[in-house]
Amino acid sequence: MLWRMLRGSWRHRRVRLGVATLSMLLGAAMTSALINLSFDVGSQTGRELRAYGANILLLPRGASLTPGGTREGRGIRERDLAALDGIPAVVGYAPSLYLVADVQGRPLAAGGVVFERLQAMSAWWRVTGSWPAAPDEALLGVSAARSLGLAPGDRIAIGYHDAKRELVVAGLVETGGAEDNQVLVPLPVAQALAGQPGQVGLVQVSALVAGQSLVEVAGAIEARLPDIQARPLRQFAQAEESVVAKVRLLLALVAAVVLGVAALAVGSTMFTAVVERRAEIGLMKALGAAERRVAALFLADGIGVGAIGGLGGYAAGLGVAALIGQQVFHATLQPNPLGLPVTLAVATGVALAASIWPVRQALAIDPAVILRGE
Amino acid sequence: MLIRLLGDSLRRRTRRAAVAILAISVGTALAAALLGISLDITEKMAREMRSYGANILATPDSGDVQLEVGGITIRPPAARGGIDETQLVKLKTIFWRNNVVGFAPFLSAIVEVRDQQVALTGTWFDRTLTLPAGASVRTGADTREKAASTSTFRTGVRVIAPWWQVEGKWANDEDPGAAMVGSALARRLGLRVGDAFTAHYAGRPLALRAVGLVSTGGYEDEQIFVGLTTAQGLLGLSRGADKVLVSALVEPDDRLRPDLRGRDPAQMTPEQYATWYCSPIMGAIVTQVKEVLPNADVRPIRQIAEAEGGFLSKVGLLMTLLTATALAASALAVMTAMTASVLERRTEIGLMKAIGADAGQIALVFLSEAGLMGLVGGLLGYVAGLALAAFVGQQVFAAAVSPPPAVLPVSIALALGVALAGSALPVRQAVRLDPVSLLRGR
Amino acid sequence: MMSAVVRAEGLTKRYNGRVHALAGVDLTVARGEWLGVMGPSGSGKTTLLNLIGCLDRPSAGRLLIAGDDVTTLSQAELVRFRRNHIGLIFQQFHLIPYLTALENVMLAQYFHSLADEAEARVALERVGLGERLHHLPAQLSGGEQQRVCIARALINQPSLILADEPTGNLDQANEERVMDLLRELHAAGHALIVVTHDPAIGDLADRLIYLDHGRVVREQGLRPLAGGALVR
Ligand SMILES: Nc1ncnc2c1ncn2[C@@H]1O[C@H](COP(=O)(O)OP(=O)(O)OP(=O)(O)O)[C@@H](O)[C@H]1O
Ligand SMILES: [Mg+2]
Repeated sequence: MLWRMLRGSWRHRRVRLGVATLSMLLGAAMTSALINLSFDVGSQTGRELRAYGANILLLPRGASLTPGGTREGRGIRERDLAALDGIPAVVGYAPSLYLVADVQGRPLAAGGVVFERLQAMSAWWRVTGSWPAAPDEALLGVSAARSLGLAPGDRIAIGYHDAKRELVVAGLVETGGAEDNQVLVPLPVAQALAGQPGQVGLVQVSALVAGQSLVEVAGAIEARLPDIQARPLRQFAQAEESVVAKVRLLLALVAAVVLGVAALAVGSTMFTAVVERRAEIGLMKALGAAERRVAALFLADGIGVGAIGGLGGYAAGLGVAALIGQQVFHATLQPNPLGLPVTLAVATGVALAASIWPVRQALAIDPAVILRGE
Repeated sequence: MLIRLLGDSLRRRTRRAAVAILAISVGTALAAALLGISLDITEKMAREMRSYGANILATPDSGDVQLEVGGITIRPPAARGGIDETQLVKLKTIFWRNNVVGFAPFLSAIVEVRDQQVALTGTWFDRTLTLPAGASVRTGADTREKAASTSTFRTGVRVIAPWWQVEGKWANDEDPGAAMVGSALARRLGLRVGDAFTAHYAGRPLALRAVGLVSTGGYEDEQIFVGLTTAQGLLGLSRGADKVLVSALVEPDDRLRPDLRGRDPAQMTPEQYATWYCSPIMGAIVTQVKEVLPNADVRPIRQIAEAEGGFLSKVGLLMTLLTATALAASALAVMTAMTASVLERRTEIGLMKAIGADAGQIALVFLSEAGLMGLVGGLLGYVAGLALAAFVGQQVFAAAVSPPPAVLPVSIALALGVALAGSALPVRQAVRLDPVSLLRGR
Repeated sequence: MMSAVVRAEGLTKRYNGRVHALAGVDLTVARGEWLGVMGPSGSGKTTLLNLIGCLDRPSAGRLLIAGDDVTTLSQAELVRFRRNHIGLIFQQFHLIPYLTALENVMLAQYFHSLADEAEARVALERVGLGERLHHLPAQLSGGEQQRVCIARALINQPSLILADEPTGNLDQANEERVMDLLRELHAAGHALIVVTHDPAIGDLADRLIYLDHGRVVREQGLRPLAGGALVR
């Protein structure tokens, strides 16, 4: 009989129920969108910053960043670096070997680098011409190019002690930093010049700060590469950690606000839906219905609206979150596993809570008073 | 009679009216809060990003090739100290002076300590500068005025590089013998906090004491830092620095008026240039720094500046999209609530029609009621939204967000519009129906 | 017949194309005449009243009220026509719950032209509710509510008052009062069409028609009209 009554009442009150479900759906959609966003957005914004340079430096143990470049003789074995791929927080790394070389007869800092790796961490570099691709191509800093009078396509002679190489300038780079006064060459070239095959002096590592601090990531690196010291760059570590934490907190609070607001809106709709039917409650009581029966009828209504609106809203919210993720980060956000249960719980919880009070009130009032109207 | 009707309807249907007003104010609160936050977020986040340190670099204007290793530039002695540090106080007279968070001059030399070659850099650690009353400050692209009162501000490394981790104490700028030693260098030299040591430059000795050890993970770990005057004395200069770092609050270029984006300021009309000049973007601020440091080459530190710009744009876009979603959702929710409250009163509409009300009169009654509720709900919601925005701002940025005044009219207009739109639809529909079916109940 | 307030020819109302609520009713009501309508439940009495009250449109037939063919009027014109010519009294009263007795009456004035509190007060005093002006419908008895409804119907001086079982929900005493009021309205020159199940009220009419299955099955003149108009 309960089912029959529900079916009748639902068919009869299509519009009102539609309205209540719609409002539930909207609230649940906002909730689910934000829960899903706030889960992943912190790491996404962190990832965004990772295109702007390293935040951890790897040096051979005991070596230092001295004005003359790293000490010769002691280096990092290039093949050891594969171990970095096993650390999830590491999103990229770029090995390098720096020398103060004799370039066209003048002293200039020359860096041997792996261009593909470097490029992924250097969103702010402006290259005219092209990034070097061939093993005999070099990237020349703009300031150095200006004073050396070189342009892309020109040949450049690089000497170190007795060794000497001639390369082609593939492009000019402007970074606004030290690189403007450097020449970057393929790593094997620098290794050959320095007589240190397979060795690198410095590795720039780009690591995500989501979840763990950079100090922890550095610790993990040192654990895997025992002959290496990993130095977090405090400038980036601190800034990123604080900025990412702010974004996270901001989103969490916005999510909380939206949640509260959605609960209020949904609650008020459910509330009116029940208040509207007070006469019905009075009539049922007058007909001799047990209070529990009446309550069950109305609460079933609430659960129905909550569940349908909550489910639909969850799906819609997931869509909104995905859309925002795509628009802002050009990435597919990972849905929060908590999204569905939380959204459903909030939706049905609110619907129930908002129904209980008016139902109880209506049950408490003498049916005669209710039946008389207003 | 209309007023009486509205008054009675709102007074005697308190609960229903309250629910509708609640729905409106809740929706408006959400809209106002998110609008307020998202309109203010770029500025707040820009301030947060300043923990990245300096984003503008000024160096002496010399065309020669420079050998830069280990974070310092090796220059021929003749080219040392090209920037006069006594002019730096003028950075606080530029148009965007309040966006200049701090700055510090640097003057480096390679010295010998315990038989090792190390970089020694003179700088300002923590200085309080004074801008006298009457100093000429910029108020526009080509307007100036005299500062009304004397102002002071703190600057130096401590302000622009908050990530320096110091063991021991910060050196005092006035103390010629105080030095801060990079932690890696100190380990190499066997120096500890409080130890005295001597640095030699061109055969001249300089007695120093390590008051603190610096660690940053970067090149600073390999250097010795002293007061700027100490370094100048060592190099035989009376004044001058060869690098100045400036930390300035900069908003992304997409905050610039759309028609000016990506254009060369030199090609702009005077009016466009004035607008460009008065926008808090990197280009304008660099131009203004150049104006007060005429013989310096001023450039943004692109690694920092672009990371910041990119990040701020993302966060801004994120908040904008969120706000748009929330706006749409709350507008829909409010419309739904209004629709429900009108639907509930269809019998009333039928009766009014039966006793001779025409469509216009009925619409007037219901829409003015909706308008009134929209107004009240909008105002309440605006106030609540401000409080929410303030709460979020306080929690996240420890500073009140200051939503622009435009949020008020926008919120009210929104509330009104949505309340009206939400009622108009069902009223229109009910007015079209014949009174018989409305009075019969359905 | 220029003095006819209502003139219906072949008035038909079908619902869903099948149910014939009214099937070709011919009817004339003279100015100032009191017409009683009786018939079994479902015979089309309310439907007839709704059509004459311009609340509904006939499916077929012609309907002239005060000389105007209302079947050709637009929706908006119907509303204007109704407020100028017709007063309605409902079995379920249909008062606005959040307006006082006085305000419910004033509402009709407001829609007609201008609300005039003094006039509305007089109307309520006329139906014996001078003491209950500021009570809400929920605070009035059924009979009192019906009297508010009557006051509202007569406030704009309509030439035709339609009442659908005005005493259906009332007890004997209240029924008497309402009947007295209807008599007064009749005496004041309003034409009345009263639908009723109650022969006592039917007997007050100048003329009585019986409906069954949407047709006039019987018609009975009870007394000659003042103007000597013929009873068909
Ligand atoms: N909206 C409608 N749709 C379908 N049928 C309808 C509709 N309204 C009325 N009817 C039918 O038209 C017929 C006449 O109805 P009406 O209300 O005029 O009867 P009535 O004579 O007033 O009866 P009662 O004395 O019970 O009030 C009935 O059979 C009713 O079922
Ligand atoms: Mg009837």
